[in-house]
Order: sequence, then C-alpha cells, then structure tokens
Amino acid sequence: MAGKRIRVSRRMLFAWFILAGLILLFSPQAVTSRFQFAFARLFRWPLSIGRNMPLSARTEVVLQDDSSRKEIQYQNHIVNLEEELRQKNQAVQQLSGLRTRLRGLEGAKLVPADIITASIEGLRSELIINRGRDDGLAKDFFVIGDNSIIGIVTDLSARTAKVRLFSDASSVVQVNIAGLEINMLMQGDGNSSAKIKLVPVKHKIKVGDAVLVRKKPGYLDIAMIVGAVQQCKRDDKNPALWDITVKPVCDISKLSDVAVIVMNPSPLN
Amino acid sequence: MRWPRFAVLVLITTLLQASGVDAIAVTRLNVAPDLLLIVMVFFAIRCNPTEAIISSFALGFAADIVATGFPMGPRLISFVLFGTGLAYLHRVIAIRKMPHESLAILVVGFGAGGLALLLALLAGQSPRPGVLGVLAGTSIYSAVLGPFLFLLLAWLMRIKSRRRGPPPATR
Repeated sequence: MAGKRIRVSRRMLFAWFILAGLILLFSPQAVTSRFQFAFARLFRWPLSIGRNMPLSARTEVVLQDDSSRKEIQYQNHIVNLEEELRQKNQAVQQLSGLRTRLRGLEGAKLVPADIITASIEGLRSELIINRGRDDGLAKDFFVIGDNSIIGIVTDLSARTAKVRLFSDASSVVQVNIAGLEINMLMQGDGNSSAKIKLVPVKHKIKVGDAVLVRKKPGYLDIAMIVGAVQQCKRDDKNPALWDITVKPVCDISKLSDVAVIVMNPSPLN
Repeated sequence: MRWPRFAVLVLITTLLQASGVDAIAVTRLNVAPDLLLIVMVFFAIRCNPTEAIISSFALGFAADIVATGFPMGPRLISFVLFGTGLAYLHRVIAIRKMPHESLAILVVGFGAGGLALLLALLAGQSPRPGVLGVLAGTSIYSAVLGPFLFLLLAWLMRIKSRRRGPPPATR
C-alpha cells in the first residue's frame, strides 16, 4: 500500500491549479501579500546580496559621488530647517498662542529600518523594509531617507512593510513648492521622477525650487522636502498651466537604511 | 523529472529574478529578462505535459511571489495556461531549433504577460503608464537570452536536448 501512487489526470491537475490561481487572485491582497513578505524575510540575506550587485557594478561612480551625497544630505537638512523656521516665524507673527513645536519632529519617533529589497527603477518604485506592525508602524506613515521624505508605508505584516516611493506611477501626494502657498498634487511618473500639473503659469516657478510634502496632521507635523523642480514648461494641452517635473533629492539606489516617522507613538512602542 | 533538482532550480531562479536580474537591466525603463518565463518555456517544451503543468504552476507561483506590489494569482494563472498550451502544442509542432525556441519565448512572454496584466486589472490593480513597453522589452530580452540559457538548463537538469537530426543509418 505504501508504494501505491495517487494518479491524477492532467485535466484535473490543470483545473486544480487554475482554481488555486483564481482563489489567490480574488483573496484580499492583505492576505496574499503575506507570502511575498514571508519570502522577502526568509531570503533576506541572498536578496540583499543580489541587490548590491548592480551597486557594486558601479562602485567607482558611488565612491566619486560619496562626497556629493553628503552635500545633498546637508542641503536637504538646510531646506527642512529653513521651512521649519519659516513656519515658526509665521506662527509667531500670528501670535496664535498655540503651542508650536520648536523642532518639527520633536514629538515623533523615528523607527530605523533596513531595506530588504528595492525596486527603484521602472514603473514600480517600492521598498520592502524590515520593520512592521510590531514596531508600531501603520499604513500611510511617511518614510525618510537622507533627511528627505521618500515614500509612504502602503502595506504591512508583523515584521516587514512595503514602502511606495513618490516616483511610483500610482503615488499621489499633496505638496507645495517653497515660497508658494498653493495646494498641489504630485503624481509619480514611474520613471524615477514625479509630475505636478494643474498649476497656473501666473506662479513663478524655477528649476531647482524645493518641493515639500505638505504637513498631514497625525502623520507629518511639518512640511518636509521631497524633491526639487527639474523641469518646468508649459503644458502641451493647456498652455495656461505648468507641467512640472520633480526629481527626488535622495538617491535611493544608494540607500541601505531609512527611517519611518511615527508621529504620536504609543507608550508601549 | 528530477523534482528535488527542479525545486533548487526554481528557488535559485526566483532569488535571481527578485534581485540579481537588475544588474543586466537595460534602457531607462529598467527592462530585464524574465528568468522564470524562460525556465517555464524550457520545461514546457522539454518535458511531458503533466510535468509541464506542475512546473508551470510552481514557476507561476514563484513569479507572483517576487512581483511585490501586484496581487497574487495573475502570473500563476497565465503561466499554467500558457505552459500547458505550449506543452500540447509541442506535441504537434516540434520546437527544437534555437530560433524556434526564441520565438516560443517571445510569443509566450507577450501572451502570459498580457493575460497577467488583464487579470491584475480584474483584481483591481490600477494600470501603470508604460507597462506595455516594459512587457515588450522583457519579452524580447527573454527571447534573445532564453535559447542560450536552455543549454545551461538542459545540462543542469540532465535533460537531453532532443534536437532530432536525420535518423541513424541502420544496417
């Protein structure tokens, strides 16, 4: 009996496999993404080696750019401080009497995380990091790298999280350009940059202007830099509007770790 | 079929597809070959239909696992459908020469990729701009690389190439 083999016809095998696929397809993504997270966690070490391969192939460039990366970090930090100072001045001028934060992220907890896998070029721009729900993370939390906002947590498991970068084609976020007090929507273009549209040409915008993520109570208490204007031209379809291309100010291909902003951490975390 | 060897091969291919394949990506759209697709076509044309169905399922599942940000299921279904179809087609039309293998990878790449995109849309995934360009690039890149990888796979799996020449002379 032990040697008896179960014979299944090809048709039945095919039908079972297609059925399994359909079950996976229509299961909630929160459930099925656990497989993806489990794979990333289980094979973290070989995946990180593979991730470093493209980087090691251009080591010389990385070494040359190391000093410029530090400079970019400082520049981003300066822009953040300037924005913080500007907002503080506004608050003082208004004499609102409300308590304002001296430092934008003073009340926040920064959860450091390592990048397990990264898809940073092409249409998908995502990271999987080694922090999750157990570390106090939740959906829509902002993620920073090199002192600039780089993305938002979109999916979580107990010990891993998926971060959608702002260059991802499905990413939409509220921003403003330094010095302009108008709401704008920035959408990723799936090509390592993002677009801002529907901005009237009456606003003066120039290449190099800092683009800041607007503050979002509970998630981000102060505007922070996300990118810089790379190109600003009139929209082809509507010349009364700008077509603005935003380049991230952080080179994500060189990042090995990030930090997640938890604005109101619970005492347990 | 040597199934333990197959399992190790799938695991290594999955890990390479998840991270290492970016090293040979080209163009600004980051077009890279789909190693899992190449392996799927290899088993579909070198094994019997039952083995082809099982290997297509395993490789489709692996392809869904590494496609972070996408719902699971579309690639599994498309791999099983096209792997099975190709295995049966191979019984009618022999795919043995390198150009034929390349063409098979190209057609299956377009078909399986297109079907996976449609199924992902059905599951509520929003379409991304430029996705058809990436699909075309991936299929062409895989079709160029695939026949050479077939030689390595045939050696690793100890599967004879089954390229038929003229029948041996008999006395």
